[in-house]
Amino acid sequence: MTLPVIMDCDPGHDDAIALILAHSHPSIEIKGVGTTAGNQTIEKTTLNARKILEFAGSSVKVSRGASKPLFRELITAASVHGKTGLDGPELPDPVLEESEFSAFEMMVDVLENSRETVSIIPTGALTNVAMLLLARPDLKKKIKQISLMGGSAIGGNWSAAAEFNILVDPEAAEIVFNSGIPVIMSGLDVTYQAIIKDSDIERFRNIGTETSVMVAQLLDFFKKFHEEKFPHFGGSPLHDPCAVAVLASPELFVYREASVHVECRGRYTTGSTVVSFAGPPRNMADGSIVSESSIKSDSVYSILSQQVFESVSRKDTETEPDVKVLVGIDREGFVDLLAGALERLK
Amino acid sequence: MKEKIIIDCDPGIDDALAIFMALASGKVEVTGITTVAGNVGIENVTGNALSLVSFAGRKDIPVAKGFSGPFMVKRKDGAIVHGKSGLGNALLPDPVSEPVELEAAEFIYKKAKEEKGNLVLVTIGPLTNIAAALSMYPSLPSLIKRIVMMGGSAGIGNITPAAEFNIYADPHAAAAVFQSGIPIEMYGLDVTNRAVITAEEIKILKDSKRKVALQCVNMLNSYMDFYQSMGYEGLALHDPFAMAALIDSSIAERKDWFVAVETDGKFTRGKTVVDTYGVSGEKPNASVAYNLDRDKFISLLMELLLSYE
Repeated sequence: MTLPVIMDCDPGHDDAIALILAHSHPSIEIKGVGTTAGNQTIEKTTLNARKILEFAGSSVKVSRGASKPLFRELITAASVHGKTGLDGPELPDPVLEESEFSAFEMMVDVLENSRETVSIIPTGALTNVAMLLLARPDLKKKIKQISLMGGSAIGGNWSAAAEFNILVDPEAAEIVFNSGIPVIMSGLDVTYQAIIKDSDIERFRNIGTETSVMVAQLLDFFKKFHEEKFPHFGGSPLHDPCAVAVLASPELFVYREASVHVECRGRYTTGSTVVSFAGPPRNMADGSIVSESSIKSDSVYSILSQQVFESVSRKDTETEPDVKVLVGIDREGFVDLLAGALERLK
Repeated sequence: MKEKIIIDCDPGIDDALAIFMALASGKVEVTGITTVAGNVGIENVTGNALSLVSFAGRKDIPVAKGFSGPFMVKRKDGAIVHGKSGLGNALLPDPVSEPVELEAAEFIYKKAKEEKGNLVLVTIGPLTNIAAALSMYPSLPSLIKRIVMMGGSAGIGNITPAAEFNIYADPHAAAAVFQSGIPIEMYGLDVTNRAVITAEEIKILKDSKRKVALQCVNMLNSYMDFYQSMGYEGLALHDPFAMAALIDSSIAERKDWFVAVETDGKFTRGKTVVDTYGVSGEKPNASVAYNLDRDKFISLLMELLLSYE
């Protein structure tokens, strides 16, 4: 049994690796790939998605999505991903053409024609997904879940309070988090634990295939930003692949039930995800309660993030706790999962 | 040398403990107490402050009454936590003295001038009085040595998912204080939620049969009921922790960060936005506590509360 998914992304180094993981993993079947503006402009993210998929041997056509957020001007992340949005490896121009359908049309088509429910994996701004939910609420019942990379319970990476993907289109994010569809949130709380170290990059490179060497080159570039800006991580947090990995190998993750709202009109907090935890930490695979955090270090950041693990559940939430906020990851298992994905590809 | 302090507070059960601690400590000299509406209304918190100093045998400590509510937002109280009187089940005698003539903000300025830059403000309630004093007396920042604050959170809130009570109660005042340039030590929920006292430790206070300790036990028991109803296991001593950190700075670890207070926002009003990852480009304006030595804190608390006859 494979899980049918729609990818919605803005490659982006970590988006690229998320695409490769989804393409390679035997339990996941990519039904469509849409692009969104964010890490770079829509022209660049669309081209990058085509390059990556073709390089990795996928024949899925890429559907171009919205060129800007619902109500705001676009912000991009050239400082992280470079001028092309995917600086580092030399990737050949794709042969396969871009899809004639927009990301919205593609999602409608996939959902209408799928007999089973489909999971959506957004790893960029949520513009396309919000548009889909607004325009075609009748299709909500065809969506099994939305496993997204974005947000955080504590702290931000683009402003002091906000994570980049949510900050790009906060209104879209608020629509998605409160759509009634089950959401899995891979926010900074978990992705800051999904650290790829130098030794992991070498492990990928040494697999020796074209794709694995290319991924190592992506990570070589990606780590430059993190070494400079976040030296205490000891590597690069591999944000987007978490949103795929949690569907492929749920046992690697710990979540807490929560309701989430997105601040859209704060002075300092616009784009922050306000997380109201409603249950204890549980293993994603079987729901068993996890009593101890895997965070062992006593650094400032670990101590702060310990709060997302142990803070008291609130009983006064007005919103249904239909979000699973990821709070823990088996990092070694995550790296093994990525290595396994690369070993399966040429 | 003793640190000269004014306690700006809204007693409040944990405020009461903080006041008892300060009055018992040889490390600080309480030059006055100013009150502000917060946990309960201004009349109650002021009456409570007067009762507390009198009960501790320190009628000589001046109490100045402050603002009856925030400037820009509706007043929100914490009676659900602290009981209607503000002090839970405590059986304190009625106040035998009156507040001083000066309003809290005037009193703070007068003392600050007298102490010539050596005054420390210990703020354990909403920051209305301090913000008012800042705008009434522009020279105030240069006269204050530092602010030791219980308030805010770099992480999770308590009154809302995003905000801590003292900041939420008057976010505009808090914003003004964080922008004032006065050095700030912030003891927020990141540490105070973990500054818990256990039932066994409360029993030690009870078994001492000393008058102040027994009052604290009365108050803590009503506090415990609330916390347990909210799902907390221990009893978090927010305000006493800030006071303890002033008395012995080694009970907390702090780091300099930029802190802004969200005054707008639909879901985040009153949130202290702490730039822990240094992405805002702003210079640090507060020293924020992120870790604590709980056992050492409790020893200090016990020592001070049991030092009363």
